[in-house]
Amino acid sequence: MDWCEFIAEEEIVEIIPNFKYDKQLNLISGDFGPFLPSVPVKVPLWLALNLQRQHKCTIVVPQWIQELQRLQEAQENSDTLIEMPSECWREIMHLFREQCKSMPNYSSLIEKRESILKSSVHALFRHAFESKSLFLTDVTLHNVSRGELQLLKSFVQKSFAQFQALRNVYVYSKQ
Amino acid sequence: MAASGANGGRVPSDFAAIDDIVALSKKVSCRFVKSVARLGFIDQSADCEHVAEGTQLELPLWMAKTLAARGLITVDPPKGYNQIYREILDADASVVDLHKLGPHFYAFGGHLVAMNAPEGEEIAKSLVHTFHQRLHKIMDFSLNASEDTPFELHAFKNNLDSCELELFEEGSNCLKDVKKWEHRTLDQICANDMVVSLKKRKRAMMACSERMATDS
Repeated sequence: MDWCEFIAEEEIVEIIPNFKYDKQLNLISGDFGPFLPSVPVKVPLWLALNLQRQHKCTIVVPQWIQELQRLQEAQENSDTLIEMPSECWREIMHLFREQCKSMPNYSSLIEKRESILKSSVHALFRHAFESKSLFLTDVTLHNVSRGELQLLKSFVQKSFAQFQALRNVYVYSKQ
Repeated sequence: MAASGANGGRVPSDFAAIDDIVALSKKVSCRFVKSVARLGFIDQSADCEHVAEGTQLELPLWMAKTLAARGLITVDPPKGYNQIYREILDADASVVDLHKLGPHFYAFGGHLVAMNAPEGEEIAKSLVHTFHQRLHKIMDFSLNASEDTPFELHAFKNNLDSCELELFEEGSNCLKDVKKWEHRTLDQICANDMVVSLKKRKRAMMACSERMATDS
């Protein structure tokens, strides 16, 4: 999970610096700057967080975080996972929550998405159980993000391998 | 390994895996269908050089496997794999204590099926069915369990087969990791448990030596 956060820190956000730095920063992920007081500029999240800790900028909260309530409602009314505005929304939200205290509560969004994911895993196993042959086709899962998968991934991986091994024994025993 | 290699390596078994070795050393009851010369030493109760036809013996599965491959014995499905148990497992597998029946219930069953035991197909079917039935509960328990209900959790874990337990631990470790990340305990530096207990011991020793100094 911590490396998911590490990747999420590459996300670009907008900051309003209050210091002056005329040159550009040439980083691996791109060139950022120049920084002028109260002129919005785009930087990676890790840099933004670092600058804010030094009280050198304020981070502009992305549009989609302000619209979180709408997303939450949309997810509440949907049986499948809805598309999230960012691939690493969960990690970014977590990082933002530490910075600014006045964040909308999004725990029900996480919970709802988690329960949808879990029920789709149950469905996957049921599907595998009911199918006659060993090979499963068209297993797709839309709009799931890396951070959310972290909880289920290795468990599902291992238990599915075990399940297929048992099914393998069964299929061969019929021949 | 030669035996399982001969029937096409059906069971994905790892020769050196300790779980597999333990699973194979469990005993099954076998009946000799032919008399075998100079094999009397495996039947310690009979003082005879040869094994007679119709002798019933409890042999470990690895031995039964080789003997059955040569058509010398027939194997009775042991408890947990026979028809009565298969019906119980089909009805509701989640209440059965597989640890007591196993503890390598699936591995043993897989080997049993691979050696063309009678009712092999039904056994394999019941294995798949059992695993499927129990898996949902394992997943729910391991990915949602909190510390609030340690007794129920413990009771549930005691019923699991060894490979199910492994999956359970995997799931709860994932949950723990995510929780740790959420509460930011990952990047807090804390003392190793061993060091903490070491300090306690040191303190105890110091207290002891002080007492001895005052005594003298």
